[in-house]
Amino acid sequence: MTDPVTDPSANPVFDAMLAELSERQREDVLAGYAALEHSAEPVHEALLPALRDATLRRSLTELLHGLGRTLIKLSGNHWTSGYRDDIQAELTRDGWHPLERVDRAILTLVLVHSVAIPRSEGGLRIDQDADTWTSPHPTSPDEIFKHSHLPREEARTALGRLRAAGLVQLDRRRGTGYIPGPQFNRLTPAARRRLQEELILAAGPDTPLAAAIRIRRLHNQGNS
Amino acid sequence: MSTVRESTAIGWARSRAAGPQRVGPSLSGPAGMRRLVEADASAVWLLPMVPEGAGPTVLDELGLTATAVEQPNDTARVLAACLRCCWPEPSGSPWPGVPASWEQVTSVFRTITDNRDERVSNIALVAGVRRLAGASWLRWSERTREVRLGPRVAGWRDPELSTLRELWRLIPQVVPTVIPNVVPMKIHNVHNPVDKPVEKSPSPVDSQGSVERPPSD
Repeated sequence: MTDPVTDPSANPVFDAMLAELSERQREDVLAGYAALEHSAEPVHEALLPALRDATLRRSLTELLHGLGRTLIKLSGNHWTSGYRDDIQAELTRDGWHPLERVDRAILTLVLVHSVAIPRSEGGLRIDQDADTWTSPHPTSPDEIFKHSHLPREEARTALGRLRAAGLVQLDRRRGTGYIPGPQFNRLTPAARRRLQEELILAAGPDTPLAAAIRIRRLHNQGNS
Repeated sequence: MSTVRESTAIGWARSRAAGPQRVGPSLSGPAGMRRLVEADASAVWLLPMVPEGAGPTVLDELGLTATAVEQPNDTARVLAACLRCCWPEPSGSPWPGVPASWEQVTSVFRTITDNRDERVSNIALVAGVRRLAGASWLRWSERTREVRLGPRVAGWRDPELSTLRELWRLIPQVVPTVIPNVVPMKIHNVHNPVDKPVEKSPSPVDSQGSVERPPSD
């Protein structure tokens, strides 16, 4: 039972935002939208007129904006899309989160072992131009089972959901451990900063850096 | 954040993060979403609809890949078995369909997988239902042990439906004679978490009608 819809592809949001474009331009912007939103990995701008052409890129940006998304430029002229920071804040303001608690716990373990600990030991280069969530340090399934204190089947199921969501991936080159998945490319600079702070708070809650983060957040709350 | 534009943006972002949303029947939902009324009219699912040139099928033309589905062949077979059981009249829309018992789905799945070993078959079926339920292609009730089609099936367009109707006719409807004593493991009926790209339609057939086609990559 569906509400009557004459054309299943009719969408007033897209139609309104692309109304002033020619048919060709509209096709290019829609292809850009499809590539950014559905591709597992970032896309090189040479592939899409909607990324190369400034006018089309503006239309693509507006389209993404209207749907709660934003254009994200990565190194090497690669692009992807992510949540607008204000939309992310609005969605999670009341504690709403789409991930199950157990999935969040497993994801945190992978981030702590693959990124936070190697970074704190100087094993990961922090480069503003590079994807700092790429890690050559996989977290082994045994580490996940050991530290999560969950039944193995439950942890395995959670890992399956995280893999399906692109939040973790198997690092087959270095064994069978898990590293952060391609979805971390979709973080805006502000989201990357927030996540980095959360990792510091999780991995080293008693460190001076964690104390500084807590003080700054309290200060910001007081000002807002 | 109170304008129509902003509530549309939030609605689309929420759907991106958590899959199609189930709301009360009186809620209209954000612009650009299709309202799918449940069979008993107790709730409505909001399904984002993108124009044809903006869907995941464009990735093939661009030589890009979507997020890979694990065990794509078995996942497609599970969806095919559920479609055969839950889509009673294939001349119409698959949504909302009818519920099918776990035994029904098991019987059809075993038929299309050449009656492979029961234990192996059950593991593949549970994993496939879990995967498809997580992406809103199916719904699974632990309480009633029933499978239903998920709201994403309403997004299939006419060419895809034509192929699926052909497939439907090729799959025999099997009356379950043996009730598997293997109780399905917990299948979480959750939606796509976080920033997952919308998967390509896991059509259990390709244009040649083969059931071997991976559903996503």
